[in-house]
Amino acid sequence: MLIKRLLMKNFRQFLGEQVVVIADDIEHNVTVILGKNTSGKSTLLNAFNWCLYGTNNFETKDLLNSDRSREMQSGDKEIVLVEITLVHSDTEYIISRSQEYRCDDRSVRATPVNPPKVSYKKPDGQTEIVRSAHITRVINEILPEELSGYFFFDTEKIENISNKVDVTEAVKSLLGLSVLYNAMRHLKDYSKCNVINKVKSNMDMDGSRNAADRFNRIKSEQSRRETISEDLSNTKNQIDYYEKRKEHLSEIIRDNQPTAVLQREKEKLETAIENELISLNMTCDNFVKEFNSNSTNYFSIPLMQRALELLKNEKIVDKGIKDMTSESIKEIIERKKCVCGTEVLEGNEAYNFLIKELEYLPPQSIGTVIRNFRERIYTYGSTNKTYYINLESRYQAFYRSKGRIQEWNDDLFEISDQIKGKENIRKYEEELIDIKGHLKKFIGKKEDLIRLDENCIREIEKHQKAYDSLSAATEKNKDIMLHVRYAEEIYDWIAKTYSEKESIIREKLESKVNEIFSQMYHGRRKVVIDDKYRVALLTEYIDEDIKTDRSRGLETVKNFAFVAGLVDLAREKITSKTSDGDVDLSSEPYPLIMDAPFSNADEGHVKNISQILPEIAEQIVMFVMEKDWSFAEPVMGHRVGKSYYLDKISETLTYIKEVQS
Amino acid sequence: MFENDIRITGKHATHIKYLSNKAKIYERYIDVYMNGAIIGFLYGRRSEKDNDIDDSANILASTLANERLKCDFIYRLIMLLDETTGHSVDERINRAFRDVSIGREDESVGSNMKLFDSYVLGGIEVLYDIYTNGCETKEDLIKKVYKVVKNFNDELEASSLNEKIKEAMVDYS
Amino acid sequence: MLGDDLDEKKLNRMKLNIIILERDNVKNREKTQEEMVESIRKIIALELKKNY
Repeated sequence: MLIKRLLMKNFRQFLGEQVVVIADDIEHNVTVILGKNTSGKSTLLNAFNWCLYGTNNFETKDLLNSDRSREMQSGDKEIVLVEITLVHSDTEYIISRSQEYRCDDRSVRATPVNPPKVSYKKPDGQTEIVRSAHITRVINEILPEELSGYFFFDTEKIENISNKVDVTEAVKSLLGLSVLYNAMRHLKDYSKCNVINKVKSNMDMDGSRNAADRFNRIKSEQSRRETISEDLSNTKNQIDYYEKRKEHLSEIIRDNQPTAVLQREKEKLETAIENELISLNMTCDNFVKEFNSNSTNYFSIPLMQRALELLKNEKIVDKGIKDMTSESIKEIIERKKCVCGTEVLEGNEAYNFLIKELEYLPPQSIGTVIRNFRERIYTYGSTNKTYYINLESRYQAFYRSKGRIQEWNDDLFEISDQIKGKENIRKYEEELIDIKGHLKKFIGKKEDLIRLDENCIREIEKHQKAYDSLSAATEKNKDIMLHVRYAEEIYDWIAKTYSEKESIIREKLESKVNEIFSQMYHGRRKVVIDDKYRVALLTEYIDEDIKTDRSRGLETVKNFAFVAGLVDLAREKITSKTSDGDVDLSSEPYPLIMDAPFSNADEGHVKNISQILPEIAEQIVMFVMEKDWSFAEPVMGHRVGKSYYLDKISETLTYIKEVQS
Repeated sequence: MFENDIRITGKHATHIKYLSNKAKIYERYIDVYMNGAIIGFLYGRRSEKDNDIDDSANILASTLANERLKCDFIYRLIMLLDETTGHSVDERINRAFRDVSIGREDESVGSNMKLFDSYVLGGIEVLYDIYTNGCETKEDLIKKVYKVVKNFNDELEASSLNEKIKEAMVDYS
Repeated sequence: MLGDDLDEKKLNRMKLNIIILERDNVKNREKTQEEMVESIRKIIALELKKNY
């Protein structure tokens, strides 16, 4: 693409219609536009962007020249216009974009931007207007928007495009790989609609519907088989796992069988001991009860014996009536009547007998008491005999019970000692039962899955046979298959070629960029380009390539180099051989339009850059400050075809004036 | 006699409580009292009331009523057999049987009861000593009780020891 | 027939025509995706029909 002319009308500070003609001669391909800062250099760059893509990076959005805007009266209308004339693929294009501004009572308002217009000159000289639906495509084919930043080089405002955007597609188109790339897409890659699918789909439709149906059934059975296979694999893993576990546990249990037995023993003993302890407790209680029942009497035995002896020796006068006391007599006397009925009056016979009787009764006569006493002793004697025997037997019970407990505790201790540190077999036995259950389940599942799979296989065979006989029968399908084979073959060839070319191009690009870079910058730096065509700076640091810190200047040079390399490469022809002759896939030349290309480089770099630029781009358009140009002119001056300067009248008004050489 | 509440104080009260509530060898305080009397006399041990320790154990008249006859019996035994006061046999018989008649107040009852009580307290001390010596657990107590009874039994049967020796020698020859 | 080798000549002619088609479209951008797919398909089909 080469630019021929830029026309602006009322665009920002450029009042009225102002034109820049761009040098496009091979020898004199540099156009210089001088100006101080803020004189409008950035505006010119934005003019390109706005015309082609409708974008700009102005801070205020109004494009209409403010002087013009101010003098508008109510009802006035004014147009803002940018028009670019360029040549692309040997065709001259005119691209323009405009926006109308209207003044009403209050203020000047912008109307919506008009869609761009594109027209081109046909070989026969006639002008053809590009249909609006195609405009964006056409513009992007001339210069893709993603890459526009490379060619409209706004040094001051540039964010490192080369680092960020995935410009693969755009670069490819620029470098002429799109032909091959598109061919691949059309043949196979584009999933919605491609040649191979289309051809195949003809087959399915033209062929018997049953074949398609069979085909689907086969597919679904196959996918079912896949699922089954996965399930089967999982199930087998489970089975393996459980088998291993089972083996492991069985081994442990086998090794520890004696322990299991001992453990059961232990439990039995513990229960027995517990029960016996309860029984022991009761025995103790009974023993004490028994003891209490008669202890006083028992310990009185020797005393009772001695008492008997003592009393035997003594002559006890015992004449009294048994169990009769002096109280009884006294009461009879008080009653004045005897038990037998006789009257008892003081002084009478009965009375006197009673008084006499008193002598034999306690307290007068103690014989009765003694007699009672003696009898009591005899009574106690008999109980005492049985007392001791009972007590003894209860104690025996106690003793035996204690003995048993002791014995069992000893056994328990021994067993505990034996099984100490050994496994608790119970839990393993339980787990083993559990595992056997799982195993049964999984083995059953495995068998089911295998059966299912066999069913699927049978189904597939059935369907496949039917399918083959259906589809093989159709000549047309055979034909179609052949089409597909050719398409596949062509695709493979293109893909291979593409890949070869692409890596060659990338290598070339990288080395070209490095070449240019090293000419612009003398330092140990290297540039690498990744598969998304992003550019990074490395320092060759012993063995490692590491990303380095950047300075703006360095970045500028890097970006320059990339763009330059791109442009340079774009000019080469990419050829690809077929046996019928060469096919020319060459792509377009491109210009470099730069705003303040030198502002971040030092004097030396300026010179280097100036030297190289005209060599690598067909066309250079530069907006520069006078001071920068003074360094570049000695180097570049002879290549200048057109020269302008921006005459800044005021903050709102600039005129572009041509400098006659 | 043995009609009113009995009140034991001091360390003897503590002992009674131990024997009855802690060691549980004797079911009631009255059992300790009665056994104490016998044991005290058997061992010839008398003791005085303890005024130092502030404790008491009561035996209610109602409880006492249940064992009235037994207490009388024990009282009579001791009064009959005790020789420490220098009384003659006749005097002892009187003391044991005559002085105890119901409703009759006698001057000598007071001193007799004092004697009786001293044996009770002494016996309580003996019992306490026996059943705290080496007795920690319930089982220790059981064993002790049995040992006491068995030893006593053996002593009772010591009279037939000579017979047993004779029998044994016959076997050997 | 399916097992036979592909005809080199036909293959190359197809390649050429497809590349030319794509190249022109890159320039003109006139045809849509679907139109391109159809055109390529036709190229292959027509070539196969030929008897030389």
